[in-house]
Amino acid sequence: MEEQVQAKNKFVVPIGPQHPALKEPGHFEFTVDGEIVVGATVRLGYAHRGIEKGCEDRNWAQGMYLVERVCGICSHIHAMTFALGAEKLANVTAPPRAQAIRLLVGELERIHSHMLWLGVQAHEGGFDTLFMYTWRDRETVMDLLEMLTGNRVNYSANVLGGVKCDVTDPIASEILKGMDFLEQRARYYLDIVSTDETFLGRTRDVGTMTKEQALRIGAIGPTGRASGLERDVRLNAPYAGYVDFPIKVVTEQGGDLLARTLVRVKELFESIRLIREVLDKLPPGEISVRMPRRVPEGAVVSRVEAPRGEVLYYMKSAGSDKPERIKIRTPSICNWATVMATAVGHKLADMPMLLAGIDPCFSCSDRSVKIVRRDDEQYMTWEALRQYGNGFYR
Amino acid sequence: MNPENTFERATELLAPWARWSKMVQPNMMEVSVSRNHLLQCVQALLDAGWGYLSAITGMHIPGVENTTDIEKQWSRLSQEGELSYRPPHTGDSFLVLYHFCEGDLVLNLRVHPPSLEDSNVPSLSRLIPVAGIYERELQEMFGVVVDDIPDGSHFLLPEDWPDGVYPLRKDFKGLPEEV
Repeated sequence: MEEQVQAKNKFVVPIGPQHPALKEPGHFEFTVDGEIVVGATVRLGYAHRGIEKGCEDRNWAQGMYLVERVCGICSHIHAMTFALGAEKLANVTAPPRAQAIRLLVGELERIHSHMLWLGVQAHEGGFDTLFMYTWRDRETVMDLLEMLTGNRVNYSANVLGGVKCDVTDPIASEILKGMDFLEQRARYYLDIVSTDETFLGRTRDVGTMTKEQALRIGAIGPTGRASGLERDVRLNAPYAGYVDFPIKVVTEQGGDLLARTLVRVKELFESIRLIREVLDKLPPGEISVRMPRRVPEGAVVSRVEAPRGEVLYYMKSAGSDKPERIKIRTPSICNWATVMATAVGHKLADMPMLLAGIDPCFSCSDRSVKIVRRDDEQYMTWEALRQYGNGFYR
Repeated sequence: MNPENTFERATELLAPWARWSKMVQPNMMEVSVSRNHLLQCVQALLDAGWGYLSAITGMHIPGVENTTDIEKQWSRLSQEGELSYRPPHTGDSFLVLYHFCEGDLVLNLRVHPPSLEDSNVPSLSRLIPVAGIYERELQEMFGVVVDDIPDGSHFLLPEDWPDGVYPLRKDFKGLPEEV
């Protein structure tokens, strides 16, 4: 009864789905007592596309391209997780050169993702200059990815059984040049985020999560590592090239937004180091092997460290050319719980940065419903798309 | 990562409740437990610090309606090692896997409620807060009933999603088009 009376004095602030700060749809309800947040809930699903279900009626190769669309930022990670799982089920091992190239693309992607995040975080903190710097510099890594794979996003570097793009000497030297530039820039960012008073004011001691809390809530990725939790699939369960090229895990003890920023900026250096090492010792040989169309019966869990944390795929095959079940668990899902827990006790004005602090990815938290319409045209020619676009804005 | 946390250790911890266990992959073990013992099992893993809950996977296993196919069902279930404790399901059922990860090891606690109608599983969210999110997804995508879930509202599906329609069931082929 008393609780009910208390609850009445509080105010619920709904935020979203069209969120004023974040560029993706999500709905949050913050219960506030004055300015202070006392409770928080999350509701997602606004970017649901039906991918888990969609995998069940596509063959393995098509499924890999479909899961690449789970997330536009860590697309390579999803295709790699899928490919590694399917290869394990089929008893196929991709050649060492392919595994190294998977790592290479993965780390380039991590650099692009962390720089994108740093820009967003700076923007939420009202520091738009840093936002523009990071996004300008990020173009370097986007160009490198395009040069290597042919695409800026959704690189499609993987095929089942290997990769489809090779690293030639001119490409390698371009990547190395890019790394020199990015290393210099990353040093500058590290200096800025750890000395700028305004930025420190918005991040220091905000959303602090102790190691015990992080463990209990189930934080993963940089969010967990910022609380001193040494959890990184690349280290704990090495996959692809990480077996031959081990990483050094970056952790911070602070547990606040500042620590989360530092972990990600410091991971830039680690990625750059790894990319140089891989290019230096790239194994020679083939880049793919043949993969059977039908995958033998069995089940496998495939785990990969995405820029945001551990991605887990549970993949079950019934022996046909289509998967029986693909379960995708993306890192943002786990980290939502940390926001809901750390939000309590903070000012409402800190929420945008706190939400952005886990590097949330809405499209990968949302997946799996498919609505079939009778008049749905599956394919559009370029001309038809152009006409549709022109008509739409007329 | 704790090097002492091996599959042997997990088997020991779960011994009082485990019905059977098998290695699905060299680094993945599946342990079948009754839903009535699920909470004790999870508590035992938590107390010992064995891994962390990484995901909850639901699966819809279509049953065999035609009695002549019971043979097939038997052989399938014997492959899955279930014959030792109960007669085979003939109808549809759900399988719920709780994935615990430790280093490169994956331990699946496997709960197999008998039928679609009797598919209640207990909620882990009092022991592991993040489980609540996975359970909301499990509930709305399959129609598995999660008992004592603190917030059982829709997580991913729209508010106006029709009741009783579960998109990840095998028989779901899309919503009928509104006329």
